[in-house]
Amino acid sequence: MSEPSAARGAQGRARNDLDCTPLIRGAQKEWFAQLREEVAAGRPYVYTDAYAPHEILEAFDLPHVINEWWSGIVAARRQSAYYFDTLESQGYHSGLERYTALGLATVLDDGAAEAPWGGLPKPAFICASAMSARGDALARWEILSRAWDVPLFVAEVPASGLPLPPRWWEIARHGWEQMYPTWQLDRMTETYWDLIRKCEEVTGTRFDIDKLREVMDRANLQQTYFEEIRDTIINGKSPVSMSEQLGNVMTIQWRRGSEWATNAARQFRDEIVERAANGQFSCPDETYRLTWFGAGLWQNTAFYRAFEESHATIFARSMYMSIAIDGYPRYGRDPVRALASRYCGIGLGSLDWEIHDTKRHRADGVVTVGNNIGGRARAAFAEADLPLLILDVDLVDGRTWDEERVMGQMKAFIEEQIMPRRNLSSNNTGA
Amino acid sequence: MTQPLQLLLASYGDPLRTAREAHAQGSPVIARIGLGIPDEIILAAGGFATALAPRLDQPTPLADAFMDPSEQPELRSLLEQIASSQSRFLSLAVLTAPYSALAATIEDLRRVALLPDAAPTSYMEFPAVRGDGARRYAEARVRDLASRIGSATGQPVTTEALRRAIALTNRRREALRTFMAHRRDTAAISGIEAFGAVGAASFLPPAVFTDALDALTASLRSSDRLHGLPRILLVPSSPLTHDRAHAAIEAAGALVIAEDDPLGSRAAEPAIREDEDPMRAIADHYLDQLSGTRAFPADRRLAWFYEEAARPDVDAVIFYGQEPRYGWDHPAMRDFLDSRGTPSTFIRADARTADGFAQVEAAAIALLQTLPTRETGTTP
Repeated sequence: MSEPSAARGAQGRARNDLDCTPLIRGAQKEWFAQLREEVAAGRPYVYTDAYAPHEILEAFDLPHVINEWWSGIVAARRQSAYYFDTLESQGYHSGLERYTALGLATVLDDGAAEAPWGGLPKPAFICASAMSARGDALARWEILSRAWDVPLFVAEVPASGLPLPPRWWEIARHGWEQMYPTWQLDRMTETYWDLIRKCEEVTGTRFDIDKLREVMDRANLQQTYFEEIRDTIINGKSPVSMSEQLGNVMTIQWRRGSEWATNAARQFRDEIVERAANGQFSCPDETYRLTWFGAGLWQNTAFYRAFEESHATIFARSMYMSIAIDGYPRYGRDPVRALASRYCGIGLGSLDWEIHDTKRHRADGVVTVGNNIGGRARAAFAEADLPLLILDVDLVDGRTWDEERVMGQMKAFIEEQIMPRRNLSSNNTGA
Repeated sequence: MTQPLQLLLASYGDPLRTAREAHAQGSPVIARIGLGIPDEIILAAGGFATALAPRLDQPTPLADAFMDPSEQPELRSLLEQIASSQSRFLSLAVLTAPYSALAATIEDLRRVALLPDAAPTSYMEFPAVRGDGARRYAEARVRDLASRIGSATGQPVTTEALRRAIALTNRRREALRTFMAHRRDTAAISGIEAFGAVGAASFLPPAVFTDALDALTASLRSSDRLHGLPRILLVPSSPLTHDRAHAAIEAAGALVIAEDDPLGSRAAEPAIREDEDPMRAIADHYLDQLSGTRAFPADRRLAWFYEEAARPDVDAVIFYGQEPRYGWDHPAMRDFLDSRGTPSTFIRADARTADGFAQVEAAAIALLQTLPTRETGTTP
């Protein structure tokens, strides 16, 4: 096995422009350190995933660490190569899902490496969402549950086999009851009540539905701040780079519903609006815009800024902030059912939304990695006349990074497929 | 080859022929896509139950318009079969896990009038978790499916019709259990033939299949040639809708005596209870029998394997990873085999392609070379 200190993969670091960024990231690191101390003193916490109803945990004051966030932390510290070697040395082959496996890897590791931020403490239980289309994930969660010797609560999402309604993002906030079959909503709601009973058992406290309403209100408010940021990016040059946007949005999003998250989102919004007003942009010469499709390139977020100076090209849009704005807000009298509706179909992977949002951001093309995209999405982007580049690297596995090849592919894509189109478009309009 | 075996293998080789004949004679045909859709409901609604499986040897011109070449070939094939005019003989196609996204795609394309020839489709899945809530939910989904299928065939599902259907399929289950026991104990039939014969259950009327399988079982005679072959338990990453993995392993000189597959040895399942409300009995049965990667907790996926792999007639185990993402359970299963001294290998390949077939065969040969020679003519 390779030395833990021998970081492999991309080595560059993204430059940050915003004053709020170190504050947000510092607060998250501090929160995690405090969590470790509190857990050591006996406080329960929950290890969970991105599709679990975090607001319920927040309503119980149950701290929660999200698997995908932890993967991002490990990858950003350039430790993914070491941990994937660890998994493979234990028989978990390289074809298995990687993005969500780094949490397990850090727990199964024999301790040769220093895990990020001191490592994951042992939770009171694991709360994992389960979708029938991704059945292989359950075995991974069970391995983690056994490794920690803690219970695994599975929040199964029943599939309807139905697409979301056209332009679902215009009705999801208030009209969610009409978006899904009643039986699906009923079942999801029942599952969340089971989770509530599990939280009552773990915390020894009764569920307070008014507290959940307050959490939901804060989460909804947070998304309105994100929406103002998105509007600012759409309506002019972008005051924030994608690497900075991703980090800030997701740090806040993983703690949505807390007072800290609401305040951090407001602070983020204020600075973006102010920068736009002052003409401060991440790439002052911004000319071309790209969308990043699917989950983020967490092993190298510096990549998103690599073409600002050389090609006046930025990444303006990713799914993370847009799904937070369009897919997460839920208003309604029954907060448990409202939450359940979010996870009956959150809108990720909905191609009409992806294309609408890409065009709304005035993006000239789309970039992603092979694991992020299927045949229908490729066909949809082609139909929408959006050039697409698919990089042959993994989102989190640093061993797959080839700086020269990736940069060469990007350069060719921008110069051969993006720039000529804009020039052609300018010529056609007489500009 | 005996006549019953010929009949069963002919059906397996031309799976939709009987369904088309039934359609020509006026029977509404309901197709199941994926495992765990109760055919008792289709039978009780007066329908002919068949299965649609991916056919990678067929062109997919219609699917090609909506899915680019990188899409999984299984999905392209299924979309083609459902959406093209070749599906006109279907009154309804019911999809289940893991095809929820495919079902949604079909509805999405239908919504914008891009699939004018597509068969009507419906989706249902049983929950992966256990518990009282899951049981109530499963029963409600079964009742809903009965209503949808009854509408498609024009014949509402009655309790009496369901009871008759359960009796028919239970007789089939009994025949399967008997056949599987003989297959393993007598070494009288190759794995590829056994798997094909059992696979015909998805395409033939239950009574026709059961009679043929019973006759085949009665005709089985121990074979010295097969007795001398190393005995393999095959563990595929997902239910096998083809016999290419069996063919590659047996081409290497082994005998597949069982497979961890609901379309193979695990088809020898218990009967549905006949002494309670049939809707509830069907829901309970299919919920309990759910297997595969989405079954939770682990014992639902793995108990069959641990029991069968521990039997003394298993010389080696081959894990066949057709799906690249299969394998989280594998290290624990491998450790179990290692602790018992049972050799195993894990092959990540698709035996439906020429290269994949060669890889499976080569890996099987390498595994067999590590085994002691089995004494010809001895019954394990």
